[in-house]
Amino acid sequence: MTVLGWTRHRTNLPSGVRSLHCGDWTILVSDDPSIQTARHRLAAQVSCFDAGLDFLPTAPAQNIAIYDATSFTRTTDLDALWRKLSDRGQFSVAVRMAADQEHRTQDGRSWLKTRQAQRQRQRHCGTMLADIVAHLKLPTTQPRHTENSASCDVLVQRDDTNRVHNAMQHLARLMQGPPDMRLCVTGLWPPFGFVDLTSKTEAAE
Amino acid sequence: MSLALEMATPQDAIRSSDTALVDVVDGLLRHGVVIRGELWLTVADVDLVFLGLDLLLASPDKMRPEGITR
Repeated sequence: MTVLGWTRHRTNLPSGVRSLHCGDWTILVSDDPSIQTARHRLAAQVSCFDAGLDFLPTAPAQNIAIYDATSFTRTTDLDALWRKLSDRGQFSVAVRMAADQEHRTQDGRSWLKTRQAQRQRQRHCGTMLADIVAHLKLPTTQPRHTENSASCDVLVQRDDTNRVHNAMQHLARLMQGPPDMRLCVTGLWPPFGFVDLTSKTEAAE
Repeated sequence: MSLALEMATPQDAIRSSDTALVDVVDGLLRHGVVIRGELWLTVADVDLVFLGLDLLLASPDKMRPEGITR
């Protein structure tokens, strides 16, 4: 049994998903034996979300036991989270640059220079990402950085998806960057980046 | 120059083998905080010493590739 998340809804569940009632909450579970990995759990959660189901998703990397999912309904302020996240999803927004072609260096000095250039690209991506999300005026997560990219999640109301899509297209045209810089947007995902579940019991320990 | 815009649905990203989309999915699967620091010691515009620090802060559950199973 795989726990996918929590919802207030008790009807119109996607096929393959069943509900376990726990007070005012419904725990969404799947008995599909092929769901073995974090990526499988993510795919199952995305299917539920695409089917229009509004729910608070578990972190895909965690295979939460049903006991813990039940416990969370008593020890965590799911109501506050629901008010914040119901009817919402997230876009993952990334600014990327092409990887440095001179990565294989011959000596220490050229390695240092390459490293400095990477750092410059990383800063450039981060600055561009900050400018773009500032224009959107929507809640975002902290930026994540890799060698050639900066990314974050943007919380979006489901019925606002098209407006945000259009805004991204407008911003991509508006922003000026190097030829190899691109704006990558994926979504709409369940709002994984905004679900912060810490039980009151654990927090007090 | 304007930025090239690439848009993809979650289904595209999950099925894709494109590096950028795989990175997005991996980002969703991993939860944690990464602190990254770099220190350069430079004298007369010559880089002498480089110190790099990557520190990952996450709960033990989140550090396991497939999460916890109880």
